Amino acid sequence: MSTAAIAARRALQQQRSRVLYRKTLRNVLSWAVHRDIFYVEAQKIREQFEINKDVANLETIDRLLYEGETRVEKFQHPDPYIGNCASLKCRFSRFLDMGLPVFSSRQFS
Amino acid sequence: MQAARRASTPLRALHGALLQRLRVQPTGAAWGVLRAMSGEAHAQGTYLDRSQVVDRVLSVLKSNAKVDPAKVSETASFQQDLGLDSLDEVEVVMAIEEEFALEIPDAEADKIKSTRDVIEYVASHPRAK
Repeated sequence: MSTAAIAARRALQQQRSRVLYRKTLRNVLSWAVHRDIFYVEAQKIREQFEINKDVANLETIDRLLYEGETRVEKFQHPDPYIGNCASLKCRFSRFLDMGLPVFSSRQFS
Repeated sequence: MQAARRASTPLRALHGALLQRLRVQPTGAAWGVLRAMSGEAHAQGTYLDRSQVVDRVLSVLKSNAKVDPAKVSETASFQQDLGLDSLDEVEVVMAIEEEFALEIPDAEADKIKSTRDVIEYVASHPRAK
């Protein structure tokens, strides 16, 4: 393989790892609702990412990324928080307060 | 019945003319709550002041444990100046999302590489709080 192809593949893997990290953090944010618990869990996730930080083999990196992506799919929250409700006082009516589409029973009566 | 109706139209015209000229802003706590609930300001988009954005972004960066506060400036690049990892960059973007109550999509978050990118993004976002 040429060095340009290797560099392109590495860049793609770096982007995949970034996207995976974001996705896991967002997922954890849906599960760990309180921010102090979220910080603890986010630190644990970061340590798991740091374990495989120095892997050099491209195939191993691909396999690790694939495993990470399947894991985050498995632990995906069934009812995730959409939008950032850190500034809202009450999350119950967050769709109304943030202007997201809301389906009311009146539409179906 | 019809006479009464005919007599009321000039009054109604006067009523309409008065309403067109007088625009009274609703004041008071009750009206403020109702307007907030109607999402009016939300639909228009409230942009933050740039100086306020800069202050808050710099304070967020300084409070990050992996960042040396002395090196934080408005033009600091994350990887070169502050020495942050790609995962650290993701964490910085999440902290910015938390500070300004935003949700930054992946495509935009990948482009944020320096403090100036962050400030530009937040200052031009209509929903930043």
